[in-house]
Amino acid sequence: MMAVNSDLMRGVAEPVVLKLLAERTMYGYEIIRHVNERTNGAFAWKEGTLYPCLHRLEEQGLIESSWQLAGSKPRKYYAITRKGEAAMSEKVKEAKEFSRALNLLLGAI
Amino acid sequence: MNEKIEEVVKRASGALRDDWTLEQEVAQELRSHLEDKCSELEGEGESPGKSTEKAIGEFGDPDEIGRGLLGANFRRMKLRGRLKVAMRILALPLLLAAVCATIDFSTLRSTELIRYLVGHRTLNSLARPPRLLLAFAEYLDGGPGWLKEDKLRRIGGWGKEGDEGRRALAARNPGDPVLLADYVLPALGNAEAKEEPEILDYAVEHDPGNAIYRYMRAYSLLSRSIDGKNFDADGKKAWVRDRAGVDRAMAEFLEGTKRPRFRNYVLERLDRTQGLFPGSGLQDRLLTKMVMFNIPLPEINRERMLARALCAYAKLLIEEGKHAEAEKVLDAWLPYSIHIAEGSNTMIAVFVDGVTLKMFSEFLPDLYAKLGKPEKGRLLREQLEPVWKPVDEWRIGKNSKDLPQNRKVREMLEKSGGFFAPAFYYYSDEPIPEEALRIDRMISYGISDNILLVRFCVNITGVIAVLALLLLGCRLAGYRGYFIWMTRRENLRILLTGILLPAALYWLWLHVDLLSGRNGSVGSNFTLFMMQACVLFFVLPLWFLFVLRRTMRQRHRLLVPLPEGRKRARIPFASWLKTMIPYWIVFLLLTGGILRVAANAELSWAVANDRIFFTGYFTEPEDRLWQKFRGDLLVGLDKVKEKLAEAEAGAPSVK
Repeated sequence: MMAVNSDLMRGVAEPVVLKLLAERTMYGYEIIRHVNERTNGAFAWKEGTLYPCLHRLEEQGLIESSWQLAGSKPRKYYAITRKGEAAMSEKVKEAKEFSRALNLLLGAI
Repeated sequence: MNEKIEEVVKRASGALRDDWTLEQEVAQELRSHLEDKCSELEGEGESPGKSTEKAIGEFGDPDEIGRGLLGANFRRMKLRGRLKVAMRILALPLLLAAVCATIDFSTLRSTELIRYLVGHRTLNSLARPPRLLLAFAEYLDGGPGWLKEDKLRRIGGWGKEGDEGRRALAARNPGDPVLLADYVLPALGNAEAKEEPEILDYAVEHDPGNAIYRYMRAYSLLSRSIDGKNFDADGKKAWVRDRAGVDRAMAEFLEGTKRPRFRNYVLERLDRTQGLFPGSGLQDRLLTKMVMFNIPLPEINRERMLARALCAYAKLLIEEGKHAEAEKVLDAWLPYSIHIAEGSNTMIAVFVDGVTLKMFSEFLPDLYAKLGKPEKGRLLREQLEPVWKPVDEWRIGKNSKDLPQNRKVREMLEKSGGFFAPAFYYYSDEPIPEEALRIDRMISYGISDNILLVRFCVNITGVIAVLALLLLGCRLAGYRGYFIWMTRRENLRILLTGILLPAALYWLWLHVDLLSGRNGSVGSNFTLFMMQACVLFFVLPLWFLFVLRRTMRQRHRLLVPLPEGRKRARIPFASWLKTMIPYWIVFLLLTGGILRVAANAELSWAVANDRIFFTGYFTEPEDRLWQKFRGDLLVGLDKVKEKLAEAEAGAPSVK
């Protein structure tokens, strides 16, 4: 499958991250792996997309992070907050609306 | 450590270099990400070199990632930057706030008042607060030296400075004998000998029926006509310097005995002081008590001297053969004794009455005998003994340490009393209620805890000062260090386990009597009390240091990779100092603040619920005791008067 342009990805990164973190706590690399696996590589997310997005969401209080040692290696885990859960449905709805409108637009051409 | 990965990480995180913690956090996150990716690629069969190259290649442009991260974290960095500036500016004010939260200056001043008032042994054995703090406490109360006696008199309105004001007040209210006494009697205590006649003339003129001013005038004349201040009642010492002056003085004395009343208006004057410090806190209560205890009573010593003068003067007249005059002087003992008993509104005055009557019963019979009236003297001695004896025996008994009842009371007070009971219960013959002892203990422990908190505050402020000096030294040596920002959870952990929990446990320890021993007096519980002090001084700060160091190490371990071969994170010394200082200030603010509020809540409760020490004029039991003694003295003297009159009526008059 053809990889989606990373510029297009930025708009939908936030609902995707929130949706994934609503399932369970994850660290950055784990999120990228999940996204890539679930989209069969179509969403080949890069670090430049993910980490600013994670930090932005943390800054907005939608997710929270905690450091844990995995063996001797420190890892930063992210979890969705209550505020994030409340915002997730809205952001997912927005993304779906965008996708539907894009389909209508591109389908019409 | 993979150098290529490190280079990429450094480029990406370098955009956040203004915030060391954030930069390290981002670097660690990206490093961990790249290492995970390398491991995965290696697991798929790639060589370490290839997997590193591939991971870096797929990572994207580090500069662009850095810019993205900077944009996402810009607000946080700005906030932290502001906080850092605020911390630098507010560190000192915050430290001062912490000091003010920990030290209760009002209680500190009260401590000094209690030292002055009761001088309790245990209180004295507790370390005195540093002079600087005491000076500051004094400053808050309007300047240094406020505990000096003259200042206290001034507070009570009895200082020399107040004489003119009180005189003006008395002059504006010429019919008010209380205002007159409130001017004249303290003024006598403050005046030079040469100023006394003018004051006393004024007093006699405005309250001619009050014998006290005549007596005071007699003493004033007498003191200027004799050698030295004291003389013996038996007149053995050559005491007369100016015979005419002595005659005038004793004539004035005899005039006094003819006055219808004797009033010093002590209680009415004390009523006024009740309003001087209307607050219900410890300091106001103590100040009220201090001012009452310091009420000048110059008349008491003068009354004693006049009684001696009566005996000595009568002897002199007898030696000169002036028997009729001598008898007149001798007979004056009775109205004089009744007068001074009427005016005895304090224990000390009652004791002086007792001693005076004892002296009369000792000296007067011989003098009457010399006048040829031994019967009168014998009757006087017989009748007077039951009047003065109870007072005298009580006084001697109270002062005797060997009496079993005194020993028992002393032991009880030492075992379960506080600072006030021994001093305030001295003038009492009632058993001390258990509730009063409990309140006394609570007040005493509350005050002691406050003294410990002062020491605690000084210690922690010292620690902070040393850390600040070391940081300054590091800076001068070129080591700047960095502030390690903790996460919210870490801050919460420091707050809960490092500060609040130990403070709460300490407070609980102090309030479970079985563990703290606070159901006994501070003195009897001194070892345990000092252990509690040691916990406050050493265990709480050391435990806080332990929690803080541990949290900092963990935080550092998560932020900075361990160098090869090391197992523990090594935080640069300057960073230790820089991070620790604000936390120590918060420690002082919270621990000191919480413990002070807790100690003071209890202290205020105890003071508000006290019904013994801060009530009454002097103390409630003392007030009851002097009233009882005074009543007995007056009734006894009345009986003596009757008996003497009966005897006089039965016997032929010798003139």
